Amino acid sequence: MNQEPSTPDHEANASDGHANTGTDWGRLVSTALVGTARRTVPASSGPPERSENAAALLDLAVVETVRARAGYTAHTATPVDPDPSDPLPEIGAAAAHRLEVILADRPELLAEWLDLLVHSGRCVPPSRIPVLLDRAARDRGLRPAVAAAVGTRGVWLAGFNKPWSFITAEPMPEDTFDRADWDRGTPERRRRALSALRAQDPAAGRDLLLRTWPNESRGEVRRDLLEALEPTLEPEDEPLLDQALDDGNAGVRGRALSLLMGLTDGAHAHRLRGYLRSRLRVVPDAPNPVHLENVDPDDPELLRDLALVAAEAKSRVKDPRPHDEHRERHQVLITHTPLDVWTELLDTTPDGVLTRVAKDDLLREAIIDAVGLRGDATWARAVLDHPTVGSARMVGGSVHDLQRQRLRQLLAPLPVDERCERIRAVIGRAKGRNTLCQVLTALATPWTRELAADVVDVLSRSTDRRSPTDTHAQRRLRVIAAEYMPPQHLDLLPETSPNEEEAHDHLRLRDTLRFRLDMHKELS
Amino acid sequence: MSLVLTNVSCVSDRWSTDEVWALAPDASSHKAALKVAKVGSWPASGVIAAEGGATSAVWGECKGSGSKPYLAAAHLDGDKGPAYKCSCPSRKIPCKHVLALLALWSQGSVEPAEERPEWVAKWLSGRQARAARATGGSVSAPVDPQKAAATLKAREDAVAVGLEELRVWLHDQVDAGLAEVPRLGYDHWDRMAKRLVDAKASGAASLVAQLPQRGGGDHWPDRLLERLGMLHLLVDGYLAREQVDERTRAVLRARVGISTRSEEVLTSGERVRDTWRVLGHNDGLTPDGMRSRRTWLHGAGSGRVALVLSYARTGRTPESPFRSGTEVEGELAFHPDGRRAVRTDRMTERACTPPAGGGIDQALDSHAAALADDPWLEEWPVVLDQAVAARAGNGWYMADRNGAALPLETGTLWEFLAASGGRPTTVAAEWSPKAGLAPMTLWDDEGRAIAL
Repeated sequence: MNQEPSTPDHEANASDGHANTGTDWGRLVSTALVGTARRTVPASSGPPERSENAAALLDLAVVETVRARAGYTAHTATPVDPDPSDPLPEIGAAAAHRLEVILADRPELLAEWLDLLVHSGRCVPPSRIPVLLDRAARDRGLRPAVAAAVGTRGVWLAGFNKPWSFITAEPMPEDTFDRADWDRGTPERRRRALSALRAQDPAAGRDLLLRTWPNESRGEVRRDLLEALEPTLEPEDEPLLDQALDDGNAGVRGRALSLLMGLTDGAHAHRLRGYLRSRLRVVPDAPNPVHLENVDPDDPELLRDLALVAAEAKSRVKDPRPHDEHRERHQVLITHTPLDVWTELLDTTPDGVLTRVAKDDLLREAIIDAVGLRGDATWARAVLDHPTVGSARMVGGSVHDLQRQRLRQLLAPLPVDERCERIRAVIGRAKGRNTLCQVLTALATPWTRELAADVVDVLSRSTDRRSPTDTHAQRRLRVIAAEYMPPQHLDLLPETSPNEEEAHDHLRLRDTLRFRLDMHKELS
Repeated sequence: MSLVLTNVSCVSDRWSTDEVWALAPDASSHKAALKVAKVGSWPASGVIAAEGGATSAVWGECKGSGSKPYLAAAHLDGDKGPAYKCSCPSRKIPCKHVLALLALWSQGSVEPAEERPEWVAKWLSGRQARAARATGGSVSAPVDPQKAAATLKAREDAVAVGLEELRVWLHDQVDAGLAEVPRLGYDHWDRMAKRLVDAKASGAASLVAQLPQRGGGDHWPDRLLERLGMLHLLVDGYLAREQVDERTRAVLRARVGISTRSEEVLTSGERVRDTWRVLGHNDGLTPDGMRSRRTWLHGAGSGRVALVLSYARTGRTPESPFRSGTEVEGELAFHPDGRRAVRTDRMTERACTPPAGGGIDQALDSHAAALADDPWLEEWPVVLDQAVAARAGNGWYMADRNGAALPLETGTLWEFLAASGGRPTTVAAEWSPKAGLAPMTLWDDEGRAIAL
């Protein structure tokens, strides 16, 4: 209800009407509060006279009440500015209905459905926009897809409801730079304006940001604006990023460092190479041929380049474990330095580097982290293929040893087919279905038909021991298959379950795949 | 636009899948039905056509877990709206099998069939026979009008005893003063409400039960006095029922809680033949926790406004006897109050163009006129043309082309705003001075109805 809830029908509207009726509603109410036994009923020329005071008061009250309702007069209000743009073509009735079902019963499929929708170039029926905006308000991951799905109408609508303002920050391919947005807009709109300009003219975007940089007073605004540089990052951005390494806000420094990682030929990258070279000692015949000397924890230049807390700002007394501090700095230095420093220094291939550091926990782990973080395909292959640290070794251990996040990072830079082939090659080595589940989740991509066939094969193999963990893992494997198996490979699944106990789960998997298949057809 | 409408009318007989799912009694049956809604699960199925090619019934045999298939059927053009049958043990109506069958039908996956299995034929002929008995009821079991009048008189008298008590009680409240109300317990109103239930005046009982408990928030004295006044009017009106016209008397009867059974309305109620435009529906809760759906229709020729009520238990969706945004040709049977109506025999339904609407002032006038017939009216349907979302202060309004505006009930605000894009549209809404204007249906640029 919009009308002020505290106001009764009467006074919200027809207060001017009261003046003409000759009855004062306020006096009626106060008389009723005190009681007609104690106070006389206001005189009126309206209803016929009553012998009982109570009836006389109620007569007047009801005349007033009905009069107020029937005499309700219109307010005035200013129409909203309409959505000026033409909406995209809408999806068909079947797809619209599927959206309803997904929203009600299958929220886990919403992201996939939205992606299909965005690719189809169509948008949802406008009346569904609010529910999608609500979902995206709760789930950050849905925002880019929802922004595309709700189109310009959604952005227009979000202008009226603050919790949806995030949508205005989502850059869209067709955006053009709007000076007014940049000068006077909300932080979200400014960031979007900057993204639009960067997409058109990276140098102009950089100049724009450089001019206002000293006046951007909020740390998170500076951080978000830096983020807008990422899609079109270029060497000329380095001075700005370098300046941001001196920022008072840790988030800004961290963001600047991760962007600088992308500029492998920049001054910053060369400085990191220099730090590392000066501290690495190579002794070709030693059991640990590579050795890293301690980093000076007080070197302010180094700390600055690694976006770490400056030594004077941090009370060293409070840190009781200088050893850990050393380790941490070594790690940060290695993960952020371009990997070519290793191949050059050791004069060998990535594989050779890995072999030489295999026994040094710190070096090995930090280098693999660097590979994961940089997404370098050559290095990723070298790590995955490596006999002692590679995927076969990762998958062969227990589920606790498997670093799913690391595996995911290492697979990510490879083409999808190769990723799936690599997983197929190690499926047989996975110790138990639990590990297999982890591995498949790390793959994080739709499966090739061959991989799908392999997983179906695992599913149809009944296990000897039906322990609760096993049953649970089997169920989980089906859930993962329902998510990642492309629905057009539904034919690989047998019509009926291999055994009675799993019949329900099996049907559920088939059902979900069929549901997704329809989803794809409707939006293709 | 005309092209679009032609398309629509070609398929208007078959329901949309949305409309089928709207029948689902709850979310779980919807979900369950999705699993069964596959052509492969239905080895035998068929559509039975009515004269003129519309669908009369849909039937199917669904593979279940047992050896016997479940036999599911829906009779769509029955006298009292759709009816469903299934041989499964589920108590839900319609069950998942019927829902799935209708979903397949709505997607065009059920073919017309000349042959029909015996069980379908038997069920349909049984329904026809019952319908014939019902309409010919006055012939086979003639209701004695004198006897019926005497029954009604006895009921009226019983209720009058309860309302006499209510009158005295009301006067007591006002004589003693309302200032003490916030300190009274919850059972203060409830005792009187129970007394009225005993006197078979359930309508009056719920009006008493809904009086602001313990004062109930800001401005409670104003609210309470308004409601006591409305009750007072009901009591005085009812006790004077012998002196008012028949329609007013019927309104009074309906408001105190003397209802008329649908069967009775169908056999002896006033019948109005017209092209009824289905303006839309809005859901509410009855005082005893049932879900109710108010479906509003407007007679294109007669100008009559009809209200069709349907109910469902908590958590279920009440059925929709009519589809929003369509028009139905045929007779409605009216309750004695002249407002509430019941669907009668074959009514043909079709897509229609937006109904003619008016401005805010016309809407308020029609509401005022309706209050003159029934001052206890809570909601009233209005159709606005060129209506647009508007703002004043922090509040949302609906404005007409002259800038006159009514406050919006915000339940469907965002859907309305999104669907209209802030452009003027034709809107059917429920107006309540208390809750605001609640949009039910809007018609987009292409004349398509969007139910909110």
